[in-house]
Amino acid sequence: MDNQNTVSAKSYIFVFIGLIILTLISTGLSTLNLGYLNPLIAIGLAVVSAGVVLNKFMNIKLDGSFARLLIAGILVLALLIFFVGFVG
Amino acid sequence: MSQSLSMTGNMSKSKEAGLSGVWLFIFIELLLFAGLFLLYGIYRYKNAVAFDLAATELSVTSGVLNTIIILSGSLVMAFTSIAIRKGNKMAALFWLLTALFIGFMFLTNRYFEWKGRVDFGLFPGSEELARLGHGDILFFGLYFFMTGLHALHLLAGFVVLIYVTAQVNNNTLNANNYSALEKAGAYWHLATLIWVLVFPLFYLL
Repeated sequence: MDNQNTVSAKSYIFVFIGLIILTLISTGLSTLNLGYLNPLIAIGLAVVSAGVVLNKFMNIKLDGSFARLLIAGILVLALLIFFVGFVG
Repeated sequence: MSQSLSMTGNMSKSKEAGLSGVWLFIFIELLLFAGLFLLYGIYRYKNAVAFDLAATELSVTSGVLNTIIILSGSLVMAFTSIAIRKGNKMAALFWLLTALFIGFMFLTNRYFEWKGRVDFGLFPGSEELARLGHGDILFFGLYFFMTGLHALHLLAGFVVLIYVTAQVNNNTLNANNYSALEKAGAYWHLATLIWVLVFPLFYLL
């Protein structure tokens, strides 16, 4: 029964490489001067990475009520930081 | 029974019930950091120019390096989980020790990064910061507090991993009984999750 939820080592490696690429993209884009897009991209990509860590590494099932609460919380927080810190 | 169902929502199946306590803890941890993220947002709004300038004092290379290090820590933890499910004790021990080593590398990098800042006089309470002004004091105060709190979480993860390693070693933790490892893994990944969110705030913006 547990085997249904077991993810192979290979797919973890893909997730890992994907997360590194996300980090490098967000670092690369931060060196360009894109005005108000800079914080939006950096925080947006960070939230995507956090979602991937939650979903793939922590294995949170996205249909669970608890997981929804977590993800909604992170999204709201990201929006708050963005609007308070950079738009306001 | 009906009470416990309503308390844990969808995670009421017995296999996941043990984990839900860990999730609650993780959720509280995220709330703690959420407060700090908000504080950062408000301080940044009030000291936009100082925050922009202060951020250039940090080494992006060091931040990216630490991100890659901690991500590989999560990868290795996932390998541990696979190994223990397959009942491969030696592989599980190997990956656990690797995870500990990776955590150590992260903390070493953190030490040198902090040392660099302190050598430049950029630490809370220093004369150099007092000269630079209010915004810089707030930026480096938050920087040291948030990265320090994150490092403390890693240290706690260290203790948990050492405990789990000992359990794997004496066969208490095996293919039939690995929930302790799942919990330790969830906590270890939490450190990655928090770092992924902290990293852009100080290094990229």
